[in-house]
Amino acid sequence: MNRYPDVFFRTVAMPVTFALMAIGFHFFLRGHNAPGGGFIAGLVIAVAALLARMARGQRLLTVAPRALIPSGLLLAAVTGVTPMLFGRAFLKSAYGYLEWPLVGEFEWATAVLFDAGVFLVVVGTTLTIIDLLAGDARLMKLGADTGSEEED
Amino acid sequence: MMASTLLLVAVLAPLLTAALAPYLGRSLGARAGWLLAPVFLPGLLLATQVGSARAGLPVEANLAWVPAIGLELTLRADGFSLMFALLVSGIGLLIMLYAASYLGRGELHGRFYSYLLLFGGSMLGLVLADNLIALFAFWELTSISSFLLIGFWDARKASQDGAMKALLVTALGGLALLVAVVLLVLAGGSTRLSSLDVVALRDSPLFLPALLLLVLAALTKSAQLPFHLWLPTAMEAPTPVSAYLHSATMVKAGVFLVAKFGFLLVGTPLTTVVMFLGLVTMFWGSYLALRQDDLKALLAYSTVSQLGILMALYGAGHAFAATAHLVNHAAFKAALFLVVGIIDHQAGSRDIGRLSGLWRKMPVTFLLALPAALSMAGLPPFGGFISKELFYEDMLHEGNLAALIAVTGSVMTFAYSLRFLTVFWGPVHSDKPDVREAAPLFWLPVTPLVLAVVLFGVYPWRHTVAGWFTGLAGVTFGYEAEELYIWHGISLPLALSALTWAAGTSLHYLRAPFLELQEALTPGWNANTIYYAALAGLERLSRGITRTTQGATFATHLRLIWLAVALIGTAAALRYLPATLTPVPLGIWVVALLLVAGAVGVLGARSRLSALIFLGLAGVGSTLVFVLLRAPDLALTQLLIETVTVILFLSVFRYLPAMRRYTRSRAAVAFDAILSAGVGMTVFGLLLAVQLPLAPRIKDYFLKFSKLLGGGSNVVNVILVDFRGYDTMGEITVLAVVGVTVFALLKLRTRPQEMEEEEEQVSEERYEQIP
Repeated sequence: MNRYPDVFFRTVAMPVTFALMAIGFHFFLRGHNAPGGGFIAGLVIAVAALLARMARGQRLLTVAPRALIPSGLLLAAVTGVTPMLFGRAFLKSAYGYLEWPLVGEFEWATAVLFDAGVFLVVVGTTLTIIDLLAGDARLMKLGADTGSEEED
Repeated sequence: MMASTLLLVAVLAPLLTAALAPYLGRSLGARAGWLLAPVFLPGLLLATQVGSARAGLPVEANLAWVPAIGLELTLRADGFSLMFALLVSGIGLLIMLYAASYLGRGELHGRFYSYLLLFGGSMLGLVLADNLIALFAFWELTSISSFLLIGFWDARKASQDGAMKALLVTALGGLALLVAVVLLVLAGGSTRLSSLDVVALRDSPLFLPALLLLVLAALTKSAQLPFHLWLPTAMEAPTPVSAYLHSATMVKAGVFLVAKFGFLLVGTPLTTVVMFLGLVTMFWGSYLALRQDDLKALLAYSTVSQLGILMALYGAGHAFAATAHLVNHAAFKAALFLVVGIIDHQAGSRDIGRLSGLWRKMPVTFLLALPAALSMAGLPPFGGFISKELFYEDMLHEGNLAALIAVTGSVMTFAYSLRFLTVFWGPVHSDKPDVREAAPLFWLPVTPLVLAVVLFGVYPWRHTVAGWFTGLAGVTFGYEAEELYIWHGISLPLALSALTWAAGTSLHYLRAPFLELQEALTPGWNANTIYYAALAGLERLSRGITRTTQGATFATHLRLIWLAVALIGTAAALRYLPATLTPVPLGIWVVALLLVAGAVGVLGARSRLSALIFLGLAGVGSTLVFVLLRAPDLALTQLLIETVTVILFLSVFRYLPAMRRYTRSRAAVAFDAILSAGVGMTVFGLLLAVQLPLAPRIKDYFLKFSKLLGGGSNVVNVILVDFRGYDTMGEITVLAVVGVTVFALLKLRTRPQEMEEEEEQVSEERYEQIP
């Protein structure tokens, strides 16, 4: 356990990670009608994942982050091409409203799928790059190393 | 309507299935070939459209992309295209079935079939395309997919070399074709081949360059002298690939081009040039084929030679003979390649010197090889005889020289065809002790080809196999398919044929002295040595360029880039300077101060960490600007980017060497300061320029229709995912490419420890350099 020296960091990181995740998904869902959206949400989730990695060495994702990149791209592309099958333009979005018994009016939009593609690409790319640059051992030793670098 | 759908399906089915093939290959192995082969059935079903093609009302299909500038996928199945499409689909189907037996257990079957389908689809697209730009695209796709196929066994040096050579040579032709297409479209006023304005085209000064480039493209693809060098080395591909690409289809793309654009070539001196180039290629190809000991290499040079015949005939406008021979050649050459594959597979060698008496062990294979080889030799009663007669007849019309080359080339063709068959004669000998006949599933796909060879010979009339094919193409070229007979009386061509057989047989038995003669005549250089010399020269050149331009330090690079930006930007910005400046709210001034402080702080920072903190200050400043300007989405994004940047910096700190200050001369400092100011002014000027309305403001439209069309009240988001979704698509693609690139770069780097050592060395060296 000595490898994660900062107790405060570790303790605080946990709830903050979950809060970030909640905020991230909130941003994603409300993106169409209020500040937010796939790109922003992607960054928040990436930050949450990185925090968990730095503080406790945990991985939030069970898949390799780089797998998200092509998946996101594919999702966005499929969302784009689908309207063409119905004789509409590439990426033409559709939306509508559903009346649900308890929730009331609920809006659906195909743009959410496209945004989800953006989200996946952003999360995947950010985590892939930082994961690789840092590497497991690197992040753990961060505190000690930056100190030496400062003396310049 | 149905017919045009079929046309699209025929082309798109193999291309789309190519994406699925890897998964099928993983789970089914070689058997995927049987499952995937029917993908070529839509292409074969195009045979139902023969009636309309013959009637001169070819089926057309159109997938518009950007019709305004003629970017459409237009397919048109006229007689010749339809004939070609049927050949490509039919042979493709057989090759898929054959490959299922040919490929061994450990191969990457999925990848193989994927490439093969990609190629088949591109080839179908190429022959059916009516839109010139689509034609070019498919042409390039065949080059790329054949590169993948030739290099399929990618661990082998020879495969790499062969694939690279094929790609470089055919890509050269591809570039020529691109320019040719552009010129044709400019001069002919249409992107559609069938609606080019031929009269305007012929009068245009662009006409001759376009034709020259077109011919260049055709020569490279069809391996005509001096571009023949890539075809023999392409034999490193698995044999089914060689049979498909390098005998029956891809190499014929060049011939196809000359034939298809023949209506433009007519009446220009290029016809004679192309004809003689073809004849010389025919001569040289068969001359070299005689020297080969590898069965596959023999067939490769033979293909070069036969392509020469086709090029000569189409070039000179003898479309009837050419088409008859094209069909013949596709059948017998594909069959022979497949037979070589079987021999290689069963007897463990392709070396003529090490194989003999195989007919005793492999009687079926022998029965398949015999008609095909004799057809190649031009003996009756096989198809090759008939088309060879037609060839002689046409060459006699072209003059004595043409006929002479044709006959000598054919004599050698006859001799190497006999030589091919020697592996079946004599005492049984092979590398493998127990040579056995191939399994029926292995040789069955060859039988239709051999059947075609035989049928065209013994029953050559209009309504059967090759005669039918030849007649079909006649609709395009405007010839009436003549009735073909094996025996049409004693004539000059027949006499020449007899001469060919006699001389060819003698040559076969006088092979030893002839070989010595060939050895003695071999010069020290050839197309290959030139190719490698050119390649080495190119490498030296690029290394030189890299050394002279990329040697500078990072700071110098930045200076150069910014200098360019400042010069161009200042010039552009000066035009817009008199823009009116609106008063800035007080809050912005405060934030601006923050931004400036951050920037100055970075410059003055003595360690990376403090530089990073100052940079963060600037980042927070920008965020605040967005907040003040009431752009919450941008502010959020900016803030998050700042956060991620900090994390990124922290994670790479380790790799960075300690920050050092270099002493600069006063002049250098002054220069940098002026340059920085210039860049600042440029950006300022550009911002002003952006303020000038060049077009009506679009923001009102967005605000008005965001909810109505996009269904969202966050306009920024609706712009991102809907109005400007195309942009976003492009942006995430770029992001993905960056991610993948970084991944590849970092995975390929030297391991951290080595890197650290290296780094230490490098920095020590640097210390030494600094006084």
